Amino acid sequence: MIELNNISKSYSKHIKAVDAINLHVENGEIFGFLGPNGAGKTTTIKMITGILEPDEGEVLINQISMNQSPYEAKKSFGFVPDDPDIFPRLKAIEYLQFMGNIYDVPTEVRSVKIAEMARRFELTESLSNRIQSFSHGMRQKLMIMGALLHTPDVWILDEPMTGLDPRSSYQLKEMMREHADSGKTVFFSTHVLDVAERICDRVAVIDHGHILFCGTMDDMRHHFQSTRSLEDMFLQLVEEMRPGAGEQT
Amino acid sequence: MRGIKRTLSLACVMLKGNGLANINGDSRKKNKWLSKAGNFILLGFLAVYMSVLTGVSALTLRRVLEPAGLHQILIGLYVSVAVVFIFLFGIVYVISIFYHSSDTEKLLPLPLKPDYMISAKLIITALYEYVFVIVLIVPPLLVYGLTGNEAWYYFFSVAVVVLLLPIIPLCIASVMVMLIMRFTPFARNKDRFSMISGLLAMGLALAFIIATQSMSAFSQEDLILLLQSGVQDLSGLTAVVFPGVSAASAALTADSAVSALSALLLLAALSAIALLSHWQPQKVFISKVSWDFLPHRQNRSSLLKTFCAGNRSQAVHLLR
Repeated sequence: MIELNNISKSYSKHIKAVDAINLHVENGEIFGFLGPNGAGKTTTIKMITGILEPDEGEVLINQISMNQSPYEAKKSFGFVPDDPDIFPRLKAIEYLQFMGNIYDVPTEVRSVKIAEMARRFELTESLSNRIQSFSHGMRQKLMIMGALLHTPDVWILDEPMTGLDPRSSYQLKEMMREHADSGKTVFFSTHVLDVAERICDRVAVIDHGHILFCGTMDDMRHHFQSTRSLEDMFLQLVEEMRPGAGEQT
Repeated sequence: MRGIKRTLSLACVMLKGNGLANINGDSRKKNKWLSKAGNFILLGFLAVYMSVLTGVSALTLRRVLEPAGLHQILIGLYVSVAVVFIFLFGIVYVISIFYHSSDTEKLLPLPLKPDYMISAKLIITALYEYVFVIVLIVPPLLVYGLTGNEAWYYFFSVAVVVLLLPIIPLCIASVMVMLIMRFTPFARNKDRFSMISGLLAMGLALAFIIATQSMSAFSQEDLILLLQSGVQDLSGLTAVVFPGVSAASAALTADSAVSALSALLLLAALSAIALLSHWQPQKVFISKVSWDFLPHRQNRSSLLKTFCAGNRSQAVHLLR
């Protein structure tokens, strides 16, 4: 479960990257976080994962406050960053062992999990290769494996589909569904609205640091009284938020 | 115990994963074995060359100073030169490992306590210093001991001094870096920093070689006078700036095992105090580091703002 209570973050006196947003992501759901470039998605994710501290408000992961107990809060989620470049000279298996050590995953359990995930992502043959020899997509898959090694209650992904081939993208969506179906939480940001439309139980649309909409796809269609695609509704939402949009209508 | 294991695991991963300990060549090259062998030969040659150079100069100086009964000033010279070099290279290493290493932001979402990260980075920095000390200071100290038939406790003192000597200058260097990064912008630019540190390293190496070779141009009497006054000045200065220098020198020139051990205990105590007292500033320091590594300009300015406002606890939180 993820709870964002009135969190704000500003980088300058005049601009708030995230402005008093509230979100409640339940166990067992896949939650899509959508928004155009510079909307505040990555800032929000950085606050959720403890990279940045909110100026105001509170982040709770599984009821644990990121501000008060960051160590415990960080143990309960797995994070896949949008930039998968880390420790390029390590071998893939060494990186996974390191992640296993950090999250205290028993050796037998991690061996089984690594083997299973490597098979799904077709990385079995590459585990003994250095990360620097991997393509962007392969690195992305490795980050996903590292984040899931300790079977976290909350799985957070920042733009996870970038660079993945269709088969891996399909596998990832399957894994997200399985994760949510086992009663755990999946929270991810994406630009690919098609993906969000197909796999998300709920979505939130953020722009200029404000949540424009939060609910199920049906809620959104009801809100717009339309059967249009998510892309159309998303564009309309974002368009309405643009400065001066209200004056024109 | 678990903390130590985790810290060591993190240090190993940082060392290996960022290529800091890489002498295996570029794995992307077709003939990586050739590249690996080339790296080994080059580094081995450099290490042997520097060791022989410092060892031979120690031998020459001992022969010059021994008849006048002044050979013990060599110990003061080695210890003082060592701490100055350790301190200067320490500044470069700390900036490079704490600030300009790209792993900090990647590690922030992981459940790692700030102490583990500081310790791991400090271990890596210390390892670099030890490589430097082993190549540059150990050979002359061993030559000094072997040619003078020194007692067992001299060699024991060499081992302990080599282990402890880098700690105090390294701690002072890391606190100084914190101040440099806080108040001056020059080292924040990675390219500019690389250029300046490269020039510094070249300058120091050149100065060392010129100083070693120019000694042969002096007459024996002039050389003795020069060394006597120069070493006294240098030892006096370094003893004030770096507590522990006097204890290290005393341990290496002790005439009994008891006095050597007492001096070593004093050095160990001073090193422990330096390590502990630099820990808290270091926490603030590493928080500042994370500011430098956050990729987005806004994030950086946000953290800078936090620091300028003096709200360090908020920045420290970044590494919790």
